[in-house]
Amino acid sequence: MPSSASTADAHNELKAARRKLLRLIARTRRVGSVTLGATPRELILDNQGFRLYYYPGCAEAAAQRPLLIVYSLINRPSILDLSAKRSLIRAFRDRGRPTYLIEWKDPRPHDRFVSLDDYICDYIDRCADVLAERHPGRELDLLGVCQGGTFAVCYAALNPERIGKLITLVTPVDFHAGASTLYRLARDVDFERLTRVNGIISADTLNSVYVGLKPYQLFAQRYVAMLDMNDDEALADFLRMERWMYDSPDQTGAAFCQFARELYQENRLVRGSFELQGQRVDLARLTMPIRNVYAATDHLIPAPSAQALGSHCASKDYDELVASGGHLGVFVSGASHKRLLPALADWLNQPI
Amino acid sequence: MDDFSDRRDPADLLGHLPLQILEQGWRLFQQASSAGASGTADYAQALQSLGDQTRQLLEQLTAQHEQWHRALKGLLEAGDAFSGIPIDENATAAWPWLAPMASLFGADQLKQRRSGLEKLSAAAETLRDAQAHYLRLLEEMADESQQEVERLLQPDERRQPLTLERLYALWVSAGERAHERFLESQRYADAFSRLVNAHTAFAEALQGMFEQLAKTLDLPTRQDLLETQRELQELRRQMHRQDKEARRLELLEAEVAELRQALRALSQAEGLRTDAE
Repeated sequence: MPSSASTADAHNELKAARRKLLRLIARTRRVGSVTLGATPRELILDNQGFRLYYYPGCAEAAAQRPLLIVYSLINRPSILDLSAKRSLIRAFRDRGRPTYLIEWKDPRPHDRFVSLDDYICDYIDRCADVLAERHPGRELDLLGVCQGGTFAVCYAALNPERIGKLITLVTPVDFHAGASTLYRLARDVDFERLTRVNGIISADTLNSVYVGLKPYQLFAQRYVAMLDMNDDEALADFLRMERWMYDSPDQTGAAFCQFARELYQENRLVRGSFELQGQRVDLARLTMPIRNVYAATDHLIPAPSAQALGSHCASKDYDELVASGGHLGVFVSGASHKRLLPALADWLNQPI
Repeated sequence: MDDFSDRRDPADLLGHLPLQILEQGWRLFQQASSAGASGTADYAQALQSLGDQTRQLLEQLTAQHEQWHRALKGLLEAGDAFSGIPIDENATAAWPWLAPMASLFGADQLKQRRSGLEKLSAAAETLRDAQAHYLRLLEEMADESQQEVERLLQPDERRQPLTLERLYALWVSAGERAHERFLESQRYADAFSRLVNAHTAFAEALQGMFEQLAKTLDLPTRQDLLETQRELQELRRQMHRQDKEARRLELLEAEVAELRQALRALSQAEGLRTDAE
């Protein structure tokens, strides 16, 4: 390949790119301010560490088992309701499922000792109580996303009698499986000391680690590809994703340390030694129907890490679904919204 | 509609750092395309310049660390020049208002502060080494990526003509590949954890010094604050357990009330039947 081209060609190419950039800037102004969260919702409970939201749907939904969505402490759940066309929440609500979401609050400095025990055994449990009051006599379906999937798995293992069905999306279970880059990076970090020194782990620090896994794609390619966006809707979605990516909450030191040390470094969940509030989390207690979704090319949660759930749970109705693409594609890709999410919602609607 | 909404102008997003990097690359490619001596754009030269500028940035970071280290050493040397004032215990007993001076300038206190500074200086040195090691790896990574692009840019008439867009795509994919190779290596993981641990040790040494100062000034220390926060969290947990118990009792009470009512209704029905018989 020649290392040089005619200056005239290069000039023309640059001129064309500049024209595209100017058009893009004008279009960005026209698109205006983008918002995340397309589906109307009601605040049901405002607690110390979380808010519980309900997404009202059709009247018949009240007769169904409620679905509680548990999101990760990393990033915000707004990606689950990015826009009217790309809304995981809407996919379930529109198929008659009474849909609830736990939104974790940003921790304040005095929350440094809020641990996974609190998130899982107190906060999720409080939501389960509220749902039991609002839907008497009905079990609860749980849908956990990424780290929130690990939370959902733990809660379901500790309270199997409360759970109807369980869905996990891109959820790490065996933290050492699949040559996980995150595990390799975390392996020799002294998290005990790190969180003793930093009671709250800053979102910016964490974001820089995640973006640092794919810097060329996320810093360079992404913005050049943006030049070729020709319709306003795609541009608005791009800006929403951009806003979501860099708007992350901080994390409490205690929860971060537990997750990094006990789960990533020591892999306690699959070794059967992970404890919450003095109770061992036994994956063999997961007997409810389970659908485990992982992404084929997930650079954060390798497929074997998520698939490990299958070999550790005791469910007789366990199945895996593989989504093409990477970690985020499961929530936002067109293919996922066309096939995967409707299939999951239909599965939830089938009797147990 | 909800908490997700934000009224910032999305055009502001274009001001992100990645676009600044792009702008730099753009400028270099523009120079290459307009200043080619033989009427051709020398992209290899532009890539070389981009690599040089990255190295300059890394050198600036290293220089910044050197400055911090020198400043800390200066503080230590200044401390050496003053070894503290011997405090006569009888004097402070007779004149209690001397006590604050003694707690600031007494030999024991200076010794403690010196020990804190020494720890901080050692931590700064470890951090500097870890940072330098990490930066060397980044440099190596950038070099590998550049070499790969240069290899792909070797003249070969059979291949497609080069466009800026293709060159950029080459640079991105070569860079990402080199980066991935490093990420997968144990060397990178070691350098990463060494850097994070060194940062932590430095911050801990700094906190230790402030802890000492707070004690000297009879202010609540960080440790005191942490104890309070720990107790606060324990109280919250207790409250949660009590709330849960209260809700359970409420439900039980409601259930008992319902059962009583059902029993009454049953008794009444039985009574009516007996009367009728």
